[in-house]
Amino acid sequence: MKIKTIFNHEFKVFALNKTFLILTLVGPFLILGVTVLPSILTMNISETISISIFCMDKNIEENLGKALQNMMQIFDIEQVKNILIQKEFIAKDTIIEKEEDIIKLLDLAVSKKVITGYLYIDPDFYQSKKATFVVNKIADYKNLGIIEVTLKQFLVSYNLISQGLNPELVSSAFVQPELEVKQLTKAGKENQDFFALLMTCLGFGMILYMTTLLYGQSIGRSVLTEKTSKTVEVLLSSARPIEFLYGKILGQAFAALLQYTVWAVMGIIFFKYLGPILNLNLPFTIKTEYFIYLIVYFILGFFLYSAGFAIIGSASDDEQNLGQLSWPLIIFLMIPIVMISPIVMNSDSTFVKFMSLFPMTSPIVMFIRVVVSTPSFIEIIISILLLLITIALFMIIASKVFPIGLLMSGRKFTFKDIRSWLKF
Amino acid sequence: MEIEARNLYKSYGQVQAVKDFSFKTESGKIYGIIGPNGAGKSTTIRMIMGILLPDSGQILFSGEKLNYSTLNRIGYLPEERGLYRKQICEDVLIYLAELKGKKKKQIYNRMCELLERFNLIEYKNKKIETLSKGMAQKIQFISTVLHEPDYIFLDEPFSGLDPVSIDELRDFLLELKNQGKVIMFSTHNMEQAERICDNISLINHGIEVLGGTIESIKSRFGKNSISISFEGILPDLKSIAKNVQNYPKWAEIELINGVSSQDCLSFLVKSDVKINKFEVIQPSLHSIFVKVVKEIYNEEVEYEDKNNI
Repeated sequence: MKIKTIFNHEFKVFALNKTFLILTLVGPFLILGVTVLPSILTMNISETISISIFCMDKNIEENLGKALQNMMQIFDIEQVKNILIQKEFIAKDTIIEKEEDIIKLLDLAVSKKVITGYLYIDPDFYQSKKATFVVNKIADYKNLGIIEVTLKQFLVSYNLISQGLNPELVSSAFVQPELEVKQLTKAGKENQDFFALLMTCLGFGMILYMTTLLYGQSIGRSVLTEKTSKTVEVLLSSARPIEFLYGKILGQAFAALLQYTVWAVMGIIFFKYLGPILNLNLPFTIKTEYFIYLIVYFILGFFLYSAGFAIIGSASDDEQNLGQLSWPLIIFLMIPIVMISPIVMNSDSTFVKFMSLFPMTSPIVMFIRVVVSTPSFIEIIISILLLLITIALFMIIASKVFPIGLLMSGRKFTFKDIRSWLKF
Repeated sequence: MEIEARNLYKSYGQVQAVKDFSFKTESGKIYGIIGPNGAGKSTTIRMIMGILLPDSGQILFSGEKLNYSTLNRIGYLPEERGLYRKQICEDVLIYLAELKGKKKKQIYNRMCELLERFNLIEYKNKKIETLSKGMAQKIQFISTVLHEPDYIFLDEPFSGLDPVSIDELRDFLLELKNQGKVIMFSTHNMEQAERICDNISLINHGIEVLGGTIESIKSRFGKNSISISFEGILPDLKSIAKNVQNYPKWAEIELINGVSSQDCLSFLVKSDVKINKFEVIQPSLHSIFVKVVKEIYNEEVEYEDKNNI
């Protein structure tokens, strides 16, 4: 059997070079950087903002200030004026009396970034229900939401109190309840944070998606290069096409597993040791079983897609043709990633269950279900069995199409051509 | 050792690539498969090496069907160079030899010897992509013979080589021939084939149109003519010649059937004429090939015209 020789060669070519080393070390950070980090940054803006409240009705101004001061820093007009004088944005003897003077002062404070923004409340607020929030950037949805909710509660409280209800009773009605989420797993009930789960699924899902795509495409390209450079003719005079195919896939699979092992070790060091030292509170739920499932589904997904990419590589005539023929495979890989949020939220819906059993999507979707919910063991076994059957089918197709595709050249091939090769 | 192919057929859909092709070649001989592009040479070679399966027919290596161990005894040089451009020469050579069942330690010294012989030893650790076309061609050739195969298939082995390298390669091939290897050529360069091959098969549209030793083919297509350069007066040649083109110092004599060049020479020696040069005129392989292919083409056109195809 020459699979071992081909395997050694492929592993050596793929794993023993600078690119692999750099990708192994930088890869997880890149994956986190392009996927999870933007979400964390968007949802974790915790910078305290400073605002001023201005209303001609001083009673409203004072009460709203009190309602918001737990969540943001509230500056009164006098404080804002003093800061502006201190920073020499206005003269010491500036007189601020009229409403338009105050608004000009606050506008200046916002534009000079002395405060993040100011809330202008209509003097007839209880009737008109109008307020304006002036800020230097509108991207902070979290704080905008807080202000909106506070204004709403303020109005409701006023209306209830004006109807004769006890003010204490009204304020107690707006106390936020504490909701703790617990997931029932085989090990018992465990605390689960949805955001942490989503990030874990996104992180691991992206690792599965990107590695399967990268390694799969790498096999397709490598087959194409050997085909176009005619190296394949020499190889096929030495080994059977199927040995060539298996050796290539196995060699790259082991290179990928080596990379996974390094990443797992890096992950453990980072989360267990560096995280606590650096006081990092990363929103991930990491368990050993996740790594086991990750590796199982990676191997299965990898073999499935590699066989697919190998067929396509052998049938392609150039990079452009390879790109065109790869699309159906890439789309199947992308679907679970694009739908990751609904999959996490409805992990036991019929559609998600179907996706977790359908071999083209199951490597990623079943893995997400394992993390999010508790799919039955039978479901996991069925998904693995279906994947194994499909891999066997793909390998049979590959072994038929592969030698013909490799030797055919000179024009762009279509899926119709590939289907006709099955008859040879 | 020998390779024998019996009644090979291969088609791709409606296209008949090889039709009823048979040949036999043995050790110590160089066999050429010659034909224009698309004639079926590559398909034939690929079938011999087991890359493609024939639709019908048999290929025997010393009486046995191609099996796994026979693959290791085959060396193949493809027409288009097939090497890993990003890898260094040594790694490529060792990998391709390992695929032929050899261990690195078994072939390392021979690899160095061959690199030395072809003046490439200083490129051992250089990437293939840094080599010139001719150098890469020589590396490809070394990879073909490094594992000491018994059966060697060479597709256009001299293309891209300078005259000195051609001589080096030809000398090496003659050594291999003398060692008793079975060597097969596939080429469309008739001149090279004529100089190197012992036997040839001329194929066109997948069909063998001519086959045998170079001498037998040439004698079959030769005009049985003699070219002489002389001094004096040429005697009357009616008894031996059909036709004579006579010039003051040169003549071309077309002999009567049954009269050999030897008979002609002795006839001339007995006369008073002084012979400066005596040469049997033989057609080149190229002209024979063109003639045969044209004849076939004309027959096909005639057949199509007759049958209104």
